[in-house]
Amino acid sequence: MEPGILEQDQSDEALVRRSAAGDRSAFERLASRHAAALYRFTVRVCGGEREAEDALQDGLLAAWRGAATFRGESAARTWLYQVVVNACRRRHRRRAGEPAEVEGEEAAAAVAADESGPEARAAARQAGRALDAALAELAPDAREVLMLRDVEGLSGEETAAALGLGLPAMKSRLHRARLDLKARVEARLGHAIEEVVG
Amino acid sequence: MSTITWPVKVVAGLSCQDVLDRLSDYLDGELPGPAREAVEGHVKGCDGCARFGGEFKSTVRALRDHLLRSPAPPARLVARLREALDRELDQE
Repeated sequence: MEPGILEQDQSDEALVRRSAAGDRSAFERLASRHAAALYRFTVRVCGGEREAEDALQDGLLAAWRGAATFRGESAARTWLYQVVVNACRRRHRRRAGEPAEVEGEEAAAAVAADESGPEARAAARQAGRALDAALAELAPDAREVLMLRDVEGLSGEETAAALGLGLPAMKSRLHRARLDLKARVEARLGHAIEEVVG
Repeated sequence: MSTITWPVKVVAGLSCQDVLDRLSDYLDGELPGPAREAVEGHVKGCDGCARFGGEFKSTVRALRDHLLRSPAPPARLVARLREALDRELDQE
């Protein structure tokens, strides 16, 4: 799935249309373009690398099969997230009751690598662990909305569409999720994250 | 769950709870001008809301910064997807 020289000339929407016509290379290009973000989403929402890989594979195969159903009413990226959200939700329903894995040691280390002194690195690792653990404790619907809106940077409208919600319901869910995350992070750290990450 | 742990005030026509309820819309730039100015007016006169709002913003920002630096998808994922597409196309 190496990016081709013409990739920048190919909009997501054009690639979906070509995929719908059976152009596998167009679909691979589209998947490659969004793989990192979609994987980041599935790791945090599906709870674990293996589960995330399975969910992402399920979602992308569903996107391939369903490319003809893309009507262009939302951005292709939003549509891809919709498909992957649904794949995660199906897996959650199958796994209901199982504890989620806590991801993030590697990510915490990545944050720490950018800090200068040993104390700053230790504080960043601690903050990263607190964020990872707090996120993992949240309900799946809270993780979904935080990942799409706050991490991946989808607009409010895109996030609502990807989650199958109206805009007011998405905003309400997002606000509750942010408050919940803040409280859980602070309970773990014993102080607000501002003091660590600034 | 009570989030407000500081003495509640009414400043600029808003209570601390009013400000708390509007924090996400404020942070996301989705409050219309007068509502935004009211929140800012309250925060200027309320240390508790100023501190809480700053921490709220920092938590959201830290989450994004932290997770955007998470590891890339493993190389095996690309191979798995290609194999799955191969199987899919074989069945068609």
